[in-house]
Amino acid sequence: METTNDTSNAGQHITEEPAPISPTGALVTERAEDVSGGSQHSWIHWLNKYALVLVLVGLAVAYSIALPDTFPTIANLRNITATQSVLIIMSLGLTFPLVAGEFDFSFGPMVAFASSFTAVLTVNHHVPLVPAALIVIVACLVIGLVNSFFIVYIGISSLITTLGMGTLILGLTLAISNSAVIAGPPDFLVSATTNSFLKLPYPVYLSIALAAVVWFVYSHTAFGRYLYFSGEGPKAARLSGLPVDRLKTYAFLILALMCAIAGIVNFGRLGSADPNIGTSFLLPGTAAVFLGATAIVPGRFNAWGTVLAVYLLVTGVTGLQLLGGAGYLENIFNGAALVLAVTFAHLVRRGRAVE
Amino acid sequence: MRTISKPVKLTVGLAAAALALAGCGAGSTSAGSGGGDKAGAEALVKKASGDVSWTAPGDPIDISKFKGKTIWVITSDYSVPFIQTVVANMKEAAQVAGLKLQVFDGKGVTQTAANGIQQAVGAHAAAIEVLSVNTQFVAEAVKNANQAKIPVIGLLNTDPSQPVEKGADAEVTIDYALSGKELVAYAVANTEGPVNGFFLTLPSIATFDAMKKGIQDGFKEFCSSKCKLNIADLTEGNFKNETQSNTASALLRYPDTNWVFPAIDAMAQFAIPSITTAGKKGKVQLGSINAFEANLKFITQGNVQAVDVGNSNSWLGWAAVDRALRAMSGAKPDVVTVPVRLFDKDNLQGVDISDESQLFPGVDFRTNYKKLWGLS
Repeated sequence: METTNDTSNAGQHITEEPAPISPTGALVTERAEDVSGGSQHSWIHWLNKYALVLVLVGLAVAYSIALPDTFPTIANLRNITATQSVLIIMSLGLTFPLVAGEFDFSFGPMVAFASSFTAVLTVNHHVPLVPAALIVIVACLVIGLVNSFFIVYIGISSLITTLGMGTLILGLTLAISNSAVIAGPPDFLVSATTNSFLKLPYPVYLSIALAAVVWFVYSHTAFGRYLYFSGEGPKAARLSGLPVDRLKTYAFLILALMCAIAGIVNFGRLGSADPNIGTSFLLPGTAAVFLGATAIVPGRFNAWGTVLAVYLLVTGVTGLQLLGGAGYLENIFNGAALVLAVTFAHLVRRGRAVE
Repeated sequence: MRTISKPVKLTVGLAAAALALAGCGAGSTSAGSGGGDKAGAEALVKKASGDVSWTAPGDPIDISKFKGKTIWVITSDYSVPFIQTVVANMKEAAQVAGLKLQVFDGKGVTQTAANGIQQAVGAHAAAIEVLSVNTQFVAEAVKNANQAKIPVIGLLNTDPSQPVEKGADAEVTIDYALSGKELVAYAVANTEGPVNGFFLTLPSIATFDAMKKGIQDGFKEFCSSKCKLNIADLTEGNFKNETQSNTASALLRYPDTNWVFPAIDAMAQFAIPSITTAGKKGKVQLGSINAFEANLKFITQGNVQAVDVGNSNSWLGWAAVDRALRAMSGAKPDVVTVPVRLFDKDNLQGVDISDESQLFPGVDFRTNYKKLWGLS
């Protein structure tokens, strides 16, 4: 990181963690309340931080009692974790632009692009996996650069830009794949994405390892703190000498890299690449990061909150399915959980403000 | 003592309501009957996996008076590969018949498809073909076409067992019920012991009701009373995610499941990884319909999918133009089917799965249609 050379004053500002920001953009004066509050405040703060964990544990216990033969089993744990690795990887990537104060609607189509492009290169053109993966990563980074060019340097709204870019990427994906599902990933990719260690497929460990890296970046590096600071108060960050534009560019590039990884993994895991799969990631990915922002570091997009949110959603849906629920409940549960979790966090915060 | 605030009560209430609603739906279970009829299943599989045969869709017709006229085809979503194949062959057939073909892409939006029909009416189309767009969803636009006396032909919108759609002058489709029945017959014929099936369907699509009935009929006709069938209804907008999670959950909930039947190939590719992750590869097999290249590749690679039932989309394109010509000639409303064929590792051996003419050999439908049109 070159940012430490930009200003000496900035270092003083960012050695203390900046105040968290709510998913809606409102600053939350968390630290001030911690100092002034008594034991009740500490309890509420703890509850706010770990409410999602409690809900997850509560769900797991309830389902285990209701479904003793199917829910608390290794097979179900594998089911719950294996299907979510790709979602976790892309959601972790999505936190970066959000932390930087921008949004990105192009992440789903970018994953589909990475998946289909890998398939086109390896299956249709017989390019070996490693160079193919590198080409795909570079292509995704170029997309990230284009996103950041329009958003950061031209100043177009990130919502509009990434909405347009998402559509453009979808068109590009359909063009390179001839709109077809392409099957038959290289054997090594299939093995790397479907073989297991301790009963869990490798991508589960990859997603957790990436979550640890993202957590480390946000919590223990100057870059992470600069990014939060830039997202929460870009004007103040600029006045402090932080290279806000460059930080935002890095955020879009990191998302692009994560989408490339997610796409390649998805191709191996599914055994095929569907050019139209991108839209199916939008709601779960967005729900995961926003729901995740209500946990662990409430009011902030964060790594472990995101992982927790993904597992909470899939656990809830899986339990209901095992109980015999219909297919549409995935939509109901995801949508309801997102709205209720954000509402709950808002109410808790409002309650604290009134007290 | 603090009381719970109204907003919190409301939130809890909403949560309870959402969960109650979520718990409402459940897959149904049915079974086979008696001792089963494995011989009957094997006979159907033998017939279904053989070459398809030609059946003339009617008497020869005089198409000379239609030369230069324009047929419009309104597609549900032109980015879908099989739709592109159907349309490409409609173009080829139209050119041979001396017609023009105007393509309108509905882009997956019903309203856009309705606009396409209105444009076709405004352009005085000779006939309008709606491909994978049910006329009931574009009722007003179809009504306008009817008032303008422009024939409307539905493509892949119904099953032969269902009546012609309201406002349509004809249907060209495949036999969805038979496709479902053939999948079950294949499962029975290739399974030691009872078949315990899991069928994933999209109830919002009318033709899948017919497929579901075909699957249920197949169980009743061929499977013993020990067989089980569980059904999951998925939503159209989220079927990719739902297929993965529902398949995984079903394998836990019904651990004796040995066959998974996703309604279409586009769903099958998401069911396969769930079966693999559950460690059930080799124990659970899969069958679906469409005969897409990717899915036929799964069969040849032995990747969970064992069977697929599909039709020639090239043939469907020619049949669509033939039906438009007949409707323009004043033929009575009718449902015409393009035959389906069952594919497994045996009849795919040595076949180039990317070449439709190798998948459906033995019938020169192009020459046959030309004869019916008086062109050869």
